[in-house]
Amino acid sequence: MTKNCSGADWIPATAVAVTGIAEFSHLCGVFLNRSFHFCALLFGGLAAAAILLSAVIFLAAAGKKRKKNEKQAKRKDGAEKVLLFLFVILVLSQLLFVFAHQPVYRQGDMTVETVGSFLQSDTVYGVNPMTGRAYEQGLPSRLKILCLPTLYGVLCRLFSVPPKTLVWQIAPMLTLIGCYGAYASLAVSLFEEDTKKRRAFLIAVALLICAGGYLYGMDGFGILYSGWRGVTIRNAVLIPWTFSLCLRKKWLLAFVCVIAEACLVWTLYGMGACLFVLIGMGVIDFLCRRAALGRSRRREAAE
Amino acid sequence: MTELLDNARLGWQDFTDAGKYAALLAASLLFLWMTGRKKTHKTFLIYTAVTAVCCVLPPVAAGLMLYQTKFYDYQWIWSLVPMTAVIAYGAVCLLDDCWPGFRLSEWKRGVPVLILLLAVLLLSSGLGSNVPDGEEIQKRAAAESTLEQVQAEMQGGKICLWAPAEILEYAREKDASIELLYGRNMWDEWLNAYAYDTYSEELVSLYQWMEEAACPETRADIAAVAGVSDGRSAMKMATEKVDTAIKAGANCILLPGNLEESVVRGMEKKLSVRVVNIDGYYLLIA
Repeated sequence: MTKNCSGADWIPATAVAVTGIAEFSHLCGVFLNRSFHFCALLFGGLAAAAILLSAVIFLAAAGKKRKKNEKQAKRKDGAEKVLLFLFVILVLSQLLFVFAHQPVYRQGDMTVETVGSFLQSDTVYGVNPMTGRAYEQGLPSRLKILCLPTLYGVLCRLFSVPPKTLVWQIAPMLTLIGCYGAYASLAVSLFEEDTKKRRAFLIAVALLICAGGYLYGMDGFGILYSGWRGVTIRNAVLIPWTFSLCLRKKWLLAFVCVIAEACLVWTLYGMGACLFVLIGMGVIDFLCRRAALGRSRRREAAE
Repeated sequence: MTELLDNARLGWQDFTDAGKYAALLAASLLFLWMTGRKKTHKTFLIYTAVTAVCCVLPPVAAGLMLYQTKFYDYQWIWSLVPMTAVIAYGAVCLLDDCWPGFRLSEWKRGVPVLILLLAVLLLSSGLGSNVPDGEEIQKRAAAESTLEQVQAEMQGGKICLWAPAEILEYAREKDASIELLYGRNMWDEWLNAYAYDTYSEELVSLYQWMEEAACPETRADIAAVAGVSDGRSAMKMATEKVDTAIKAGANCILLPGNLEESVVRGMEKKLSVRVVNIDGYYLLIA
């Protein structure tokens, strides 16, 4: 099994890095009582530095890969092209659906109001998003550290986009792209070098997402109707990537997903789904290896 | 704990009634297990099987619901199961077994399996039964149009609004500068988890009165809405409510258009407010 990072890892890794930067900016706003304007500037500066750094790393990696590919140049199969074409068509249609489709599932969610409040009051949680008036009793501290509203608010400020457009139309598109990045990474872990199977896997995932919009809580529903929510990002991007990393035994990197989830989703006293996945996969992997070792020892003893 | 167990049991019923992805997952796991794929991705498949069983069994499912907090519904514990990934993995392996290498020259071997898989997928999807419809778009558009007229009347001044829920629902989304006496969390209880703030009894009674007044069934008879027998008492009650709202900070009040004109004109004199007719509502500006 390949243990190296694949090109597909770039997309979920970027999502996690953006979450980290947003969390840092958000915490500055919350605990240092900085204005939201300052948070936006801080995020912009850190994001620009991160983009520059990743561009350098990406170019260096691309140079190495080009040399390797020149040596191992092989003709692409017709089926590969057909599969790629089908996948691209499916993804584009979903992106279009998410961008143009107005019915959104907003029950129990107040992201747009929260982002609007941040921008209007130039503070982070300075006013109650439900009423626009000052908090009387305050809000739970676990909720206070979640960075998604700040991330959306900062993007609204940097690109002058209304909160509704960013939250309900643009953010779900980004989640969708992140989702396919994570599943592409999982496909690499499951099918290693078989490009055709990897593409077929992604097409199957795209079809399952299309058809899976039938119930609140399903992956398809989250991505198509509430792609801006933390739980959707967790289920569509972080968890598939965690599985991919666990399959490649990159346990430390998988732990980064646990931290990213803590910044995005209100898990309260539960430690989150990514941690559950990480521990579950780790324990089962350990037990499987121990069983295999036991079997080989018994075989050796018998011989 | 009993409540949690019941939620787990009923949650499983809802989960399987709406669509059949759980059955697809079981079929996929069985297929992968029986065709020897467990050797290549043993950890992944064992993890999936174990967590899926845990989500189905009510006592363990209740434990998982506790782990992820009661704040989330039953279906969210399925986040722990890589359902989409395993179903897709099984489908690709099945297709590969029937149509090795996906060679275009042998497309006749693949097409029947593809059609079968797509048909199974379609039947398992519940045919989009619970998808959000477009009704909300119309409600939002109507509310936003009314809010624009309110803002025009207020000429850019600060707005603290009291209105029926059909308008308040979209007010803060439309413009975060609009303040409200109470927000969407008054009727969407999930939103109360986001703050420790609670509404006073006075605000709750304002909400109840406004919703009864705005209800189409009771619009014809405002006296019945107020729970009193004659028009004069109804007017008194309406005036009291508006006065309470103004004292609570509202400077912009939208009353349902079915209120008798005389009641509203009475308020205009008594409370010194300006009354404007907009979009089927009376706008009272304090």
